[in-house]
Amino acid sequence: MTKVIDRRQERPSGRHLDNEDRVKRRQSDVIRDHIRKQVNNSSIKTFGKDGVVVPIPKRNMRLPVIHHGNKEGVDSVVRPGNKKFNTGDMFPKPRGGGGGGGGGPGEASNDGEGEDPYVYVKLSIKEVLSILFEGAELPNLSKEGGWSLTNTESVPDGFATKGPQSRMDLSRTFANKKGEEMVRGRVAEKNILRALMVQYGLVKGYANEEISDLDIYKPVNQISMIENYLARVRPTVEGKFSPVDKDLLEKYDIKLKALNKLGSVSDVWREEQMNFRRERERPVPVRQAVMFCIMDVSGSMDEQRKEIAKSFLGLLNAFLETKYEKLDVVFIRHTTIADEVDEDTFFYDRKTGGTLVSTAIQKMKEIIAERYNPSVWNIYAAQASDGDNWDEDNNRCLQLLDEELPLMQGYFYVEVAENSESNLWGPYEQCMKRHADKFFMARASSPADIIPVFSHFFKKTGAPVAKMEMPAWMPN
Amino acid sequence: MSEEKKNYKEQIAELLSHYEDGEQIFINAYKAKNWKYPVNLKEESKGDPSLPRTWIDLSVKVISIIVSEYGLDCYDNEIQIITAEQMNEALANVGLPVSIPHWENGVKSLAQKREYEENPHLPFEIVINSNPSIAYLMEDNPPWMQQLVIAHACYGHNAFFKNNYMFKDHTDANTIIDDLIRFRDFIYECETKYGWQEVETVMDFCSAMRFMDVYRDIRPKQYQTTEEQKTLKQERVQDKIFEKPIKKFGISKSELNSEFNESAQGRPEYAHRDNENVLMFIADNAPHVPNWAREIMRMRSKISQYFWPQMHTKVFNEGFASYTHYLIMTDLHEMKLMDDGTYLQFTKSHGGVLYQPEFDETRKFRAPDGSIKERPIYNGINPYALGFAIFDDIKRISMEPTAEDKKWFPEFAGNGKWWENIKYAAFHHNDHEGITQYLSPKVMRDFKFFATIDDKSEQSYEIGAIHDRDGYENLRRALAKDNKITDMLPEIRVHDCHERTDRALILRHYVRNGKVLDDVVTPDVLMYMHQLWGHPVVIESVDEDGEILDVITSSRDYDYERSCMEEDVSHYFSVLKM
Repeated sequence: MTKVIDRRQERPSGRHLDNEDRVKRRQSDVIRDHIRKQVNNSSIKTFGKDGVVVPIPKRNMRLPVIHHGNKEGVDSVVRPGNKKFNTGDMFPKPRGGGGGGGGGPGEASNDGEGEDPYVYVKLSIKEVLSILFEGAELPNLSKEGGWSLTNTESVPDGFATKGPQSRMDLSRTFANKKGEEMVRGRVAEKNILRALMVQYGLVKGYANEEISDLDIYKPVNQISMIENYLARVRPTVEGKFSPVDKDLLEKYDIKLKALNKLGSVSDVWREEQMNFRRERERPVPVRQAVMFCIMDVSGSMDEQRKEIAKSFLGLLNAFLETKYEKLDVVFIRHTTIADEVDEDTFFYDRKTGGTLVSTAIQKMKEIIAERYNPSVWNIYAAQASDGDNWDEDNNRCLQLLDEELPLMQGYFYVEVAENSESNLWGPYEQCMKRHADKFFMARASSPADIIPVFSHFFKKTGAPVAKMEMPAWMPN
Repeated sequence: MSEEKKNYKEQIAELLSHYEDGEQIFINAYKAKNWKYPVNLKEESKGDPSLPRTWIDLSVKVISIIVSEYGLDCYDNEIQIITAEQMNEALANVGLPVSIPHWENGVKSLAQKREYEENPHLPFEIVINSNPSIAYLMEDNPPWMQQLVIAHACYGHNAFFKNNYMFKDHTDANTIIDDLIRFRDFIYECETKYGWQEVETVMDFCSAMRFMDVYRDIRPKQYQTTEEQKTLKQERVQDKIFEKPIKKFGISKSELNSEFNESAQGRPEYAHRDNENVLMFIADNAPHVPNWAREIMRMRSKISQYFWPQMHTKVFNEGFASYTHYLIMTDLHEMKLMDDGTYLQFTKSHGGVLYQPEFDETRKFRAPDGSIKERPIYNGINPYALGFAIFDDIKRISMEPTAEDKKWFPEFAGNGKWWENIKYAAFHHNDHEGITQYLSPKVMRDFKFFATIDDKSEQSYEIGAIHDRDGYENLRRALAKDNKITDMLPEIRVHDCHERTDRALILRHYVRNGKVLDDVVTPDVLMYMHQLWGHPVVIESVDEDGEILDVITSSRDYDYERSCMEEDVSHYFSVLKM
């Protein structure tokens, strides 16, 4: 017996995906290191948008197997293709590879030449971000009312007899149809029996014979019995009927026809039988946040410093995106005056001038008042600066921050400068003392500092916060 | 045989007469280059349900008629036609339809995907040793290739799996798929109950025990895990603490006492002593291992046992399958069911598979930078070529023996029953045994075999024997030894266990030809074993004279000598007490 199965239409079973996840789980350290390195080396805006491929060295993934060492001992190997050798000749060993040879399974685990020393694991952007922000926690995640009702979701809402095909409830529809058929059959049966009994009574009066064992409590048997009787006897007495009886018989003939039609099972699906699942749109709360990116673009911010600031802002942006369903980003750049710009201008346009930090905070205040009602928006701000400011302006900054911070969820200040006391650092430290739960500041002097700064800002406090979704294969 | 042959030709002719294309049906499909070629039954035959309705079915039917003429006993076939993606999936799992949950299989799968991306070259078929035997055929094989792989895999390999004594002894084709499914589900169950870390440790340990997890010579009859499962269930209910005393290597206490009484001097000879299946030994006797872990070890051992004969029969298995497809395709051609052009295509492919490069052969290829380079293409002896040559030569010796053949193979030279001889050779030998018995001087001459002696301490090889009158015997022995897997793998057996003192497990490695264990990997493996056994594990290397050459212990600070002395002393006192 031979069975031929054409499996080409089937999708691949994906039976190895689970095992591939196990590889990721086992090598999560390697993957984490690789991704963090990548973040430092590449621009965050484009990083990992199509997922990331991580090479994992195969030597990490090899379990030891006992085999013979290849330093000692005597082997004999048979090779084909002798041209000139005779017994007892010597010929030099080839360098490098072991010369092929029998290649026993014990040796097969050694690296073959040209074998790729890596396996490549593909990670989706979601997995990448969750690894990147593993263990990071957003302070003051959601305030009371920090959400809007712009989105809706569908929820089940009973059944209807009309609706799109896709929402048809098959089990209910079948049950309806079946039930109706059963009832119709039973009713029709009773009436058919009645009509047949009438005909039987009439015909019996004219014929000599009758059915001896008639039991009207067993409709099915009786129907066929009477039908047989009528089919046999009625033609023999056809001419003898009185006009009244004849009319009656014919009347019941028509009735029986109709009843038989009613009782027969129909393949037609009628509308009353159909059941459709009804759905209702229900508004769902969407957690929403706005993030203000504030950057000093004065002359003292050179390209390298801007790059660091850019990485940080991008990372923060990606982090907030994982936390909030809806995230608005507002870019404010400032010199001595502040203006709201789009992303490209913010990162790539050059502008020079002096520095007045307070103008940017003032601008933010205006935008909040204008567009972002603090009762429905979670407000974050991230400021990147080299710390230069006019001394007279510092007080103005602190004053504005004292006004604004109660409305906000967090204010992150990154000083993109080498370790030296800048004239913004001191006043901001005072601010941090006053608003310890909302104001965070750190210094980053090179791209490698970004991840430490980030984990410093978002280190776990232990306060109950909504948990982020982790991929299944990450160890807890 | 000529009369019978006519008979099967008639059968095929009769079968094909039901179709509109008649005897041209295969040739038409070759021309259409489509194995989905429509087969149209004649009007009068349309009602017969026994007639194949697809071209593949028809090919299988025709081939099976030819095969039954050759008297091959096969398992039922299940032929699955699959895409490249599905083939990749199957390859990552050596063809088995069930993937065991372990990260090692994930690595294989990832590596296979990568390899396919870089070098999109896939085999034409895979066949696995189960009942029914499952064969995967690639969808893009041309029609004649589908017939070739059906003959090769579904009848050649299949018959070998069913009849070869090693497969009969070591594997159970009826239950392998069910076993795998049960194993997979059991692992998932354990992971939810006891945590994935625990299960992974045990699975890693089992992988590290590779080649120490099989019964090399014969598979014990009670090699079933169902009984263990029963006790497992009971213990789960009772929620016992998993700790059991070492069972004296399987001997009950009373038996042990009687043995002591009989011979008060010396230590008892253990029943499980010299057990080469160390994994099973640990599964049975490890003192602190929970029962689910024992079950996993046993199942892993069972799977390894399933693959054990495949390693031993590469040459004969592939050789026999190649010879079968060669016979069948030639028969098709002889019956004029296959045209000359297609037969030429077949012979080209057949020759390519059977090509044996010489040891120093190189081939030119174009490097990515455009330059032409040479690289060696020799990669060991091609099992297809060697196996096919041996079987082909058995036919020659049976039919037209020379004086040399009569001297070398007096049992069957010239007896005319070439097919019987081939079947006997294939089904009753593994590679080592088969080559020892059937490698003829002619094959050695054709291959121009020569044996090189590789002393690791020397700078050059010495030629041990060549294909001349004095060399044939030695050469044949050397080639047979190359194919003796048990010689290549270190022979490690359970030797002893210090069950009175520190419960150390003593293994013995029997050194052959001065080959010692790799000193980098062995301690790592011992660490794994220590973890599961719960007590120190030691490997002694012993040479042919019983002299201990080397001792490797699982932890560096373990004093093996002292442990041995303590064990002896405690044994001495226990004997004195009685």
